[in-house]
Amino acid sequence: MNFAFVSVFAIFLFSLSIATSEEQAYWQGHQKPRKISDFKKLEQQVKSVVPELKKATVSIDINGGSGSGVIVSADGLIMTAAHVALEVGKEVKVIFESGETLKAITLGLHSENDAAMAKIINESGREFPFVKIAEEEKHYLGDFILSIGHSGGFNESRGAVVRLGRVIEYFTDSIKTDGTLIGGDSGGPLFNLRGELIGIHSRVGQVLNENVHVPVSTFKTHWSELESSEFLGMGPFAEHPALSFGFIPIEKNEEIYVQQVLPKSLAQKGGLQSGDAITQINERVVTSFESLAKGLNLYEKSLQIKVKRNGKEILLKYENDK
Amino acid sequence: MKTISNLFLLLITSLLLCQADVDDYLNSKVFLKSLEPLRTTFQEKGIVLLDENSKYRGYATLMNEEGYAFAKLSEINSIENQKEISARVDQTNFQIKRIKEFIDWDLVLIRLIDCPVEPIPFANKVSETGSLILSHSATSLQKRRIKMGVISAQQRKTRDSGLMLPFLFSIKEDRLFLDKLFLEELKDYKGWQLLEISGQKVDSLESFEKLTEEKELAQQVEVLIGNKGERKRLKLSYDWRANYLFGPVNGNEAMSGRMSARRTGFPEIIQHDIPLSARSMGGALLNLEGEVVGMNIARFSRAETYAIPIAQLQRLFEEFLQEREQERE
Repeated sequence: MNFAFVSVFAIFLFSLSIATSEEQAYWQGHQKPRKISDFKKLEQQVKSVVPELKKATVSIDINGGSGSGVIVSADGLIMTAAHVALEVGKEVKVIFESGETLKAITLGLHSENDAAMAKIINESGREFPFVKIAEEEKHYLGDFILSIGHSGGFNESRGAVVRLGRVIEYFTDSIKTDGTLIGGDSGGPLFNLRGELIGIHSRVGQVLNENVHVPVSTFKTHWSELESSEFLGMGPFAEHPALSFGFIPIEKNEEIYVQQVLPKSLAQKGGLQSGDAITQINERVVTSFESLAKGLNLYEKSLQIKVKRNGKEILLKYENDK
Repeated sequence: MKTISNLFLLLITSLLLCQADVDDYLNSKVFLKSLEPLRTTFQEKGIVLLDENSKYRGYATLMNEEGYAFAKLSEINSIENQKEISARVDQTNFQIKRIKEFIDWDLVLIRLIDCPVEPIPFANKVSETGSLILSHSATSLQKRRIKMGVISAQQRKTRDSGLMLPFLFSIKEDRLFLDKLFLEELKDYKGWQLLEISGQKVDSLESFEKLTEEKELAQQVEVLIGNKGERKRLKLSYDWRANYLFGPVNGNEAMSGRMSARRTGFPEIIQHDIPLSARSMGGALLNLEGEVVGMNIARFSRAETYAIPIAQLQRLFEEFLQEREQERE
């Protein structure tokens, strides 16, 4: 093999890589925008897919709490998070971006992976807008993503909210991105820039630009069980409210806040509210998930939970009525 | 042995490949270098507002070549020594003059004295959801920094449910008693019973909610309170909930860090996803053409930032110019 042949072959490969990157509008990590015209292509790609993706993204209303979900089949199958669905076989309200509200039933959920399904009650056989699930499950660090959801609950004048981000970490059972999330987005869809579903929003990160999603591969692995309304796993994303204390905590600056109080839970009955900062349990200081878990183990006897609410300290008392 | 070391190298490489590099974040410095021409626009034409200690306290958006600019009223008002506020464009400082307040919009029109800078061109169409936009980020005296994001939702009016009277109450057997009082002149009335609002009887939480259902910013109502046979009529005004209640009031606010004190009730906004500090308001929001599409007005939550659309800023400014003309005539 002479030098000239090697050079020609190298030039051929180089030309091929340029052609490939021109065709793919920067949706993979190793192809990054280098100049403003590249960003304009990226923008064009985002704008071309967003309208259809928003139409299939729904708000899910359960007992006054709300999350998001995405329709993945014309007959109304919805993918969402287990901590949004919470229960199997429960009737929920599904709100489309247009404001149209329909009833749906939660199907199966995987309480350890935070994956769940629901199905719109579709007696008329109507066809709903739906998104394509990505076949390719390989991710690259730096891949561009779109996070969509009904942040903070349904808002008709606003519609579903779109955020741009990139994949910053991935594992078999989770994807971490820097697209921002907030309460109400849970269960909403994560897309690649082709507009294909690659994940479902699961956890709002402690750090603003580090949020966690359940990959679609988790749904595919358990598809038949989820579709046939099985309750999989032992928690922590979904447990029967009566068997647990019944709230979702978040940690911030060494303080534990109540992000969501589960309906009909002991937490709700005792007066715990979303936004409360838990400072003590049975006079033990709570500053982390660890100290919270230790404190809640005392539930076998009785619990005295001190919370900070609007700057005031309040003592909530729970008795074990077993 | 060689095989084992090769396998070890492969394992380390695989692990590294799964971890984010700084360049993999949307707003990494390396990534934003590609947008240097637009950063230069912020450097040369963006207005930084400084306090008496030359600390940056926000931004402003230039509206014409006479040096008129809009800034966020409530953030400017929070600066201690108002007379010492100055504006910096690139490396030059300018004195400023307060011209007019627009309370509904939380805007203040200021004028940079003897500022020769031309405004950044204004966009003439509404940015669609998904459009890429750029904003000032935290900055130094020497260098303006930027961040990128997208328009997250359609242009709209924000919710104005954040209005309240300057007190919280406790409820005993359907009767409402003043509990937490947010104005100094009310502090002696803690524990007094709330009897009437605008001449209508308050005898339950439901009646209070009904009587305060329709409200506007700064609207004044007459409140009758009583204690041990004594009666007192007070004239109280509605104000933004955030002006009285510091700190989180729900789960989303709890996880959002410092938000703008005034973050609701704007007549019209654009929502975007650039994570800015509450202090970084007032600056221009640019599209990829380098045109102004809006002015940042509020950090609403960890995932939501609001901006006033440029068309609204232009309208307010035009109205101001017409008023000024009429006064001159």
